[in-house]
Amino acid sequence: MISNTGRHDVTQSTPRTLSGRPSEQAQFEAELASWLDFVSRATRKRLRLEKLITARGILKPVTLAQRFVIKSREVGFIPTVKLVNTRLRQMKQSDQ
Amino acid sequence: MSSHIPDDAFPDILRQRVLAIHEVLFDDTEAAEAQELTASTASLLAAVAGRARALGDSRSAWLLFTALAGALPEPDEVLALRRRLQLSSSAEDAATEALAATRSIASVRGVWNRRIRILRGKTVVDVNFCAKFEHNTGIQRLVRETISRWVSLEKGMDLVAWDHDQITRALHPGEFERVVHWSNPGRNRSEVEEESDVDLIVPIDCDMLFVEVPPEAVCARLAALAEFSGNRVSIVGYDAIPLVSADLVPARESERFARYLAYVKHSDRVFAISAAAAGEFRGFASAVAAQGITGPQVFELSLPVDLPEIWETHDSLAATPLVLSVGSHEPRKNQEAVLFAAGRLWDEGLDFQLIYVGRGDSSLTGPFDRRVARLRKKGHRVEARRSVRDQELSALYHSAYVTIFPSLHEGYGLPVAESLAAGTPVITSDFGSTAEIGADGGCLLVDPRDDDAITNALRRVLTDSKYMDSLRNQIEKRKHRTWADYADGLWNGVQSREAQ
Repeated sequence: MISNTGRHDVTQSTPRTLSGRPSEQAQFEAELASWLDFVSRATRKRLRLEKLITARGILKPVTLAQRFVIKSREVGFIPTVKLVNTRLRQMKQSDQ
Repeated sequence: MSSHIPDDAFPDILRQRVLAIHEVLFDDTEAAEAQELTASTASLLAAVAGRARALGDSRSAWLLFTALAGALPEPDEVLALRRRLQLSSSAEDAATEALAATRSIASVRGVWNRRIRILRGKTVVDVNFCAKFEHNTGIQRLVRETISRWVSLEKGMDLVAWDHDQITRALHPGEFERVVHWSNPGRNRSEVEEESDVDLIVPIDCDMLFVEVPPEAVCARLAALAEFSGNRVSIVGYDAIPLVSADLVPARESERFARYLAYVKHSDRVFAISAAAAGEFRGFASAVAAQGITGPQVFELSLPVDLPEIWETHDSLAATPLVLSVGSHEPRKNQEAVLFAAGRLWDEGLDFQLIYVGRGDSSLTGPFDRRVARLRKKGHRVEARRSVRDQELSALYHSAYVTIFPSLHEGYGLPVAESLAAGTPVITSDFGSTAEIGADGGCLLVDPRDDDAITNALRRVLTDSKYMDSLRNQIEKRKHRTWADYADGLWNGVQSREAQ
């Protein structure tokens, strides 16, 4: 569960036990929903970027994917289009 | 990866993956099918994570990571997940830990648009490069000659490539054609990766064979696969040139090779392509004892002296003796020494033609080709052909008076073998794998570091017709091992359960 502040908050709408604490299974189901939401949003964003860059003809798809992974792992998060394009230009220049 | 995945696809994909590994971890197809109808994905995931926690082994952690991330893990990722599972307090807690351990990898590099197919107890062959690219020199020739024979003999195996360097997948139809029916004139030669719905492949308890040298990007994932997955990993070992002859290759090649060795050391078996190559890999295998690792068993399975099946024979058409030099253009192949020897002999008044065949980095071929052009202006018959198709190469081997290949380091030396198979004598190096091939006759062996020895050898074959006749007689008496023999030997080796 992602709250309005973007923080993971399992207490807002998670089913609770009679003691008032969320059951372990219900808590895990919320964790899973949150995980799927994060992964799906990040993946779709990544694919949009790949498509955009490929459409611009900067690199062939196979090479692009390899370099995109390198870029993503360098920064540790899904980079913006601007960041990727900057890095790709640097890579192209260094290749030459 | 497909550029569009429907919003509601992720839960379905995750469920399919969890069910697939549920069957493996519980070793029970019926239970998995029953669960499929009733249990929620969360319950299934908690069950498999709890099972992995109870088993406490790296194989289970490797499999769980792969399913959740949509990417094969690297060694530290397997170890981290296994430890998190062991520290967890319940099945749900184990599953939460698994989600946390795979969250960033799943989103940054995971492949999420297709189902995974578990291959269990099968023979799986990685043909990634040959599937994707039209390149066809030494390694690719071995792969295509071998795999095409296995397919025609209906050997039971699955061919895989890498999906964005993250996870193995089945081949597209065009990729299968490129590996198995290379010579089919009607096949699609486009190298662009196609969008397709081929399954992602997760091997478990399989005999895995790696016939190519993998790209650096996947070496860490292969190291984890070899060390942790429970698959039995066999490798075709070509050479250790980037390490042993680091002075002859770009520094980057040596660094890449070191990454490659990090996975070789965890493999089970290496099938080296010559006795010389076997010696190099045995040396490495004994070296890793210092790290407390057993290292792979190393077997010698020499390549054949044979021509590809599709190559036609040709009659010699050259009026002037043709000296042929085949090989990628790089310092290790010693093309400069050959050109030097040829220049000396042209100055002595000998009449012969010299043809180089082979591509290379433009920083090396550019200056060399300019020198060749200057020699041609002086009237010498020399040329460098950078892009030669198989049929043309076959014609050149058959037309040549002699092939010259004084390489400074080889894993095998296909140009030597192919020339002999075409009936053409060879001048080659007097050590290592080329000396192994030459030991059965048809070769004049020289020290490739001795310019005078190369010059004298070339002079001798060009001026002593009786000696050349004796070399041709030796070739006729050679017992030629064929590509079919090699393919049989490799298949039997991979399938063997006995230590050899």
